[in-house]
Amino acid sequence: MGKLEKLNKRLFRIYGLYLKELRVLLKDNFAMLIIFALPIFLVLFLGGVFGGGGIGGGEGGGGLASLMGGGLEIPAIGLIDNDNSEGFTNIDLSKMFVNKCYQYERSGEVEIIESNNQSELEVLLGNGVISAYIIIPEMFEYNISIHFPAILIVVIDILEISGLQSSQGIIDTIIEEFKDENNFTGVFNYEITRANIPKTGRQLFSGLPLYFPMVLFAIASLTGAQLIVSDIPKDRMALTPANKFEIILSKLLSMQSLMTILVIIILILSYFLGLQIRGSIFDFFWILFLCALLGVIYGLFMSSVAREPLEALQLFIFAFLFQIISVLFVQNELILILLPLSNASHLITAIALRGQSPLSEPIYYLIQYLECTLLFFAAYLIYRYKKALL
Amino acid sequence: MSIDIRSLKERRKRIFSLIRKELDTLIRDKVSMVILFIIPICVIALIGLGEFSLMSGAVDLYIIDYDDSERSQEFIDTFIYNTTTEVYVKVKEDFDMTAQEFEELAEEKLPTTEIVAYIILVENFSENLIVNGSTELPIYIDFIDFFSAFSAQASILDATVHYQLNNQEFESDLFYFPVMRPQASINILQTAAPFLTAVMIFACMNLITTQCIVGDKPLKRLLTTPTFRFEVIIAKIGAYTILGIFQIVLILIFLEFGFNIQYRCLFIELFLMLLLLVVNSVVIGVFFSSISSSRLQSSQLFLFFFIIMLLITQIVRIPAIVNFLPLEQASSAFIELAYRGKSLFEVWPNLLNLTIITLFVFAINILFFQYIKKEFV
Repeated sequence: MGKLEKLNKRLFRIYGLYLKELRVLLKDNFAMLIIFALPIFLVLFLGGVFGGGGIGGGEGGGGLASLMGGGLEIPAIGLIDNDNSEGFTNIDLSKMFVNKCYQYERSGEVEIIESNNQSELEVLLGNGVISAYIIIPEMFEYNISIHFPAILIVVIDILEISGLQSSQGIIDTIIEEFKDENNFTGVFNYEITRANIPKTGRQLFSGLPLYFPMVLFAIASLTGAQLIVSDIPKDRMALTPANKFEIILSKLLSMQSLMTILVIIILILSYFLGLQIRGSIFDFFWILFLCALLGVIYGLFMSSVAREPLEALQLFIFAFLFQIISVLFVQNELILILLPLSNASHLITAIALRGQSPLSEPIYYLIQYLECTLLFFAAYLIYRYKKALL
Repeated sequence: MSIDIRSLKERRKRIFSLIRKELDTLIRDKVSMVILFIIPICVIALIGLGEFSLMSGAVDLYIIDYDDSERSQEFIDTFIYNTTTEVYVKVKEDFDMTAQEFEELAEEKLPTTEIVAYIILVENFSENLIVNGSTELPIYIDFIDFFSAFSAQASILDATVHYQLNNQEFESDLFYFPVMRPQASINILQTAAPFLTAVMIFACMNLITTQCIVGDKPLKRLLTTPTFRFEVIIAKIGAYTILGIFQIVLILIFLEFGFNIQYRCLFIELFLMLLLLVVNSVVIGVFFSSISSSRLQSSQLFLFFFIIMLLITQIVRIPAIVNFLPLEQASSAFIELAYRGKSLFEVWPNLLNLTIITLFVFAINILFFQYIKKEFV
């Protein structure tokens, strides 16, 4: 048999095995439903189809805080007006500021609790009833009237992050509007342009770097983790001319085919819901494709190491939880660069969101390619030399 | 001698025996034990020993000076020599460009990581300040990385205030410098502890429990004995809850004695609240396990629920849903109890929500397991 013929037969076997694996995967309707439902729900949630999001519930409201994609409930803010000074004739400036706050309360963006006792507000803040309080100091009106700045006392509760975002966001908005309306420009009239934030799909934009890789990696590695260890006929397969490399490669290809369809669905749906990125769609696709591939290979590796399905699942839990928590809370670059989730997250920010060239981040790509190759061959070698397959 | 298998005493005996059997199986499973007890230790240590800062280091800034006056240079110097915040400023002379070319470069670089923001000093910067006492100050900040954007905004505000103080230039304006409460500096572990504890307990307990029915091979035979289906469910919930108790104690003790996290409430109050979370996650896990027909399906259900819950708790926050999510309720109750020093009675809304979800899922689970589920592994 010539080399070409051997190669042809090998390719034919891989193709046959690929079809078999694909059929096995697709046969589990319920599992397939979840695999496809999760990313679709993710995009729909981030796309705002089910509501939620920034102050005012829309893309435009909420200033700084909504730009963070922060979870924003209506914050309760305490207010004390200590100003009795005179500065302008016919107007009471501190009263105008208080009215401005109430105007926002009427529009349902904040709840104002007015008091004349700071200790009372401190207690409310400590109990979490209010998330911040503002004190309009004595000489407020006078200072402004003599072309001097007035400094508000703002105390913010930092225990609840979501409350912190929403209260600071609304305080900023009220102050800015008050300054604009009364033409208090200050020495420097800051004209701040928040650049590089898209007009539509802001939640998708802000959730993109973390949640897209998280979902793809999780689905790919979880499903991949059961591919070898739960494959009942694989012992008999080893008796056929198909070798173990062909078997593991066909498992990788079939799972990756499904993941590719998933990536395409996510991309189409995201664009449909208004996602705007600076990078090219092909680069974005490639990052997500690589992330899914790494997930499948991680899964295959765990599946080859594990002796039973439960053990593979437990290895997945360990890998998944460790990565999620590291990405959320750890800042050490040396650790993060090795984690597929963090790596993909970095690439999405740099290449898809910032529009940098893929060549600008060679290390991150290189590590992903290396991880893919090494883990795949490690999985193959473990699978090849493993005696008891079940 | 006939035994009434429906008597309360017999039922109790059977349930305790089943719990013992479940515990024996679980304790023999070393990997499960590692997940339950080693993951929390690793994660807490990783975060507790690591460094974290919301202010993301030095701010790279371009200042485009169209004015070329003494005052504009003074303004730039305030940024360069400001010691409060770390700012790296570049001006057109560094690139040997005109102001126009430099602005174009800044615009081009803004989406990249090379600069976080650029400021334009307009042509009449000095004249405006002398004649009007104020001038416009166009600032462009990259908001792709919002931590860097916050740092840039804070640094710019700080430097401009310094400039005004140094030059005694003031105009009608409204400032505020936020004062944070609690005043004592809190580290990242302290900030993260409520959510982290809830995530670890929920994820570990829920994921391990998702395998309890679908992966229980002898269950089919067991159900041919005088054992009622709901007794099996109760025994499984009981056994996993007992393991959860050890996990809670381990996490709370490690946080307090390992990383000096101070609880302002009674230990037992925090423990009881987290116990409710454990029961909740176990009940949901058992439910996932009941409705699945393979291990993969039940773990995928966990994944689906966990990621969507994480998303709603962290980003989307749909008010109608977020108040019924275990992660939200548990982390919120943790803050109220451990940091605000409230009592268990004062966090009743959180406890009530958690209890409602638990009972609801438990009821569905019993009904499903009793009347609908036909096949076992």
